[in-house]
Amino acid sequence: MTNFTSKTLTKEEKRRFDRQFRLPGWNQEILKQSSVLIAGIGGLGVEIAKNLAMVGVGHLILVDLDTIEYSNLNRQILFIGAPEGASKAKIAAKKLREMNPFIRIDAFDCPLQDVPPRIYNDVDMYIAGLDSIEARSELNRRAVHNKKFLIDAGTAVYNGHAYVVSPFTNACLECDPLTERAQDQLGACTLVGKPRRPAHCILKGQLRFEQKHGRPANILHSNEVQDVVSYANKLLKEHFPQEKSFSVNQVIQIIDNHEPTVITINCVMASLQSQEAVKILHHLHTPMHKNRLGNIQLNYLIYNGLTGKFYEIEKPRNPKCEMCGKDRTPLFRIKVKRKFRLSQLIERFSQDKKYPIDTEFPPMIFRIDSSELGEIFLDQTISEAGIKDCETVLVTGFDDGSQIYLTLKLEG
Amino acid sequence: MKLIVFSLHVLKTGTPFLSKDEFSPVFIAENTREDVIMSENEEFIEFEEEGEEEQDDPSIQSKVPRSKVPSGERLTLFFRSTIGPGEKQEKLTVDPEMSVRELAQTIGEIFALDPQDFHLSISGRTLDSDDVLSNYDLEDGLEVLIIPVSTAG
Repeated sequence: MTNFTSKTLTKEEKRRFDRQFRLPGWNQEILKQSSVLIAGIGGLGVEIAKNLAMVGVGHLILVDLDTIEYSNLNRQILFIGAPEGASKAKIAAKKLREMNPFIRIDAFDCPLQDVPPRIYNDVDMYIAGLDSIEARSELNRRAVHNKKFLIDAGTAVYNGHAYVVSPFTNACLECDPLTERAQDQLGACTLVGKPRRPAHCILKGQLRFEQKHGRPANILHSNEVQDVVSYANKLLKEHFPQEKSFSVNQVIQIIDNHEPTVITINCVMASLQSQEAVKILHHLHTPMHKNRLGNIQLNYLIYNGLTGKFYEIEKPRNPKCEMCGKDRTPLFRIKVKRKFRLSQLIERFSQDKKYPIDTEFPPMIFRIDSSELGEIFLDQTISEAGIKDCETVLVTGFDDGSQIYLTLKLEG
Repeated sequence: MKLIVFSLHVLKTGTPFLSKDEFSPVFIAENTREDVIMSENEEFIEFEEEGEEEQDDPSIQSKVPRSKVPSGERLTLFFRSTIGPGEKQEKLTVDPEMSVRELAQTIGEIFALDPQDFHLSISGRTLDSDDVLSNYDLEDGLEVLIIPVSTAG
């Protein structure tokens, strides 16, 4: 099997990808027929999308509801020259089409939840370049429900992690729930009181500035920042005399809160994700185990950019996991015609799968594959309810309060 | 996701069934789906009993050993930092009834790190600050990794 004589690759593709055809175990045809959903087109997502486009993955789906800010340009190379405020997903797609005209790229500038469920079902795998726990949980649920690989990563200062979730093989993101970093915020009651933590001194300094000037301090004006710094340090001396006084940068980080990030760390993590993706795509489309390209890294990887060291952590599944553990809500896939009534569907399910209906709290269906959650009334057909192909819904109201997920594959 | 629904909704079953052959839905349990790499023996139809919810019964709680370490004993753990400018290792003897938050505070002081900037990870599980150590399967001599809170994208 050689890509040089492939019938599905064009002459131009053969010339362009010549050097990678020579890689042992490589198959360009596999990549060409592959599709990957990339969630979050920021520091990580831009690099992942660039790598997969360059390598020739045939179909990329880019999802990001964010718009471009000038401060993205220190690391997000696809947005250079693009107007501020433009959709990240759309601009990235446009740039990538210029970089590799041989592939298809779709862009969604909407929340992850609102990408058509069919896409989550059809793509080979998901890659996350997300910055929130909520979005990661959502993508994790889709990965477990659709049994797709999910490659997560994240950065913090000079560190990063990368982790491949293989549902029902290693821990999913819910097995070891992620927790958000506790943000320093002043409760309304603490505004007048004594600062309880050193960081509160800065917040109080910031508040004082805002009350005095009717706007927050501009971090580019050294006298304004200095005003906050000196007040914060005065309070600090008063209430926490043992603490070292705040530096200007510490104060800026708190009054104008943004994660510190740099392209070098992003690129390391995104490249690790991309390389695992290339192997996974080869694996998914290579039935024979022994012919597969390499092995998937299923451990949690940590990179420390200050020491140049990597750490590997094994992530065993959690039997109590709500998404993939023993007591999870079971999921059923159903092939059904669009004109089928939902009430009958539930009744049929109840009989076929021996899920007796709870007479006290009879079944209800809830929409979950959408940013607008809500009840779907049973007295209508599937198409009337606006249920999309491959959409997963939550059904409650079976005996003993049990509930199920239903994934509806629509026909007709 | 556990959605508890407290609404009484009467199921309307008045509509007659359509012709069976035409519209019969086919229910496929997930494990029938072929997957190339992923584990295939996942049973999706399970009739597991609900987990015990009467946790206020003290007799039940006392029977469940919360930790491999008997109470009153101290626990020696090895801490290793994966973040910061130099890899550091420290041995620390702790009280299993200590909260994770307290431990993180102490570790922060020893390693010169802000407790907000790291999580503690034991055997692939991230310790929850609101928990106490004895809620985890801890053994003497275990290595605890100090890992970054890397959530930025």
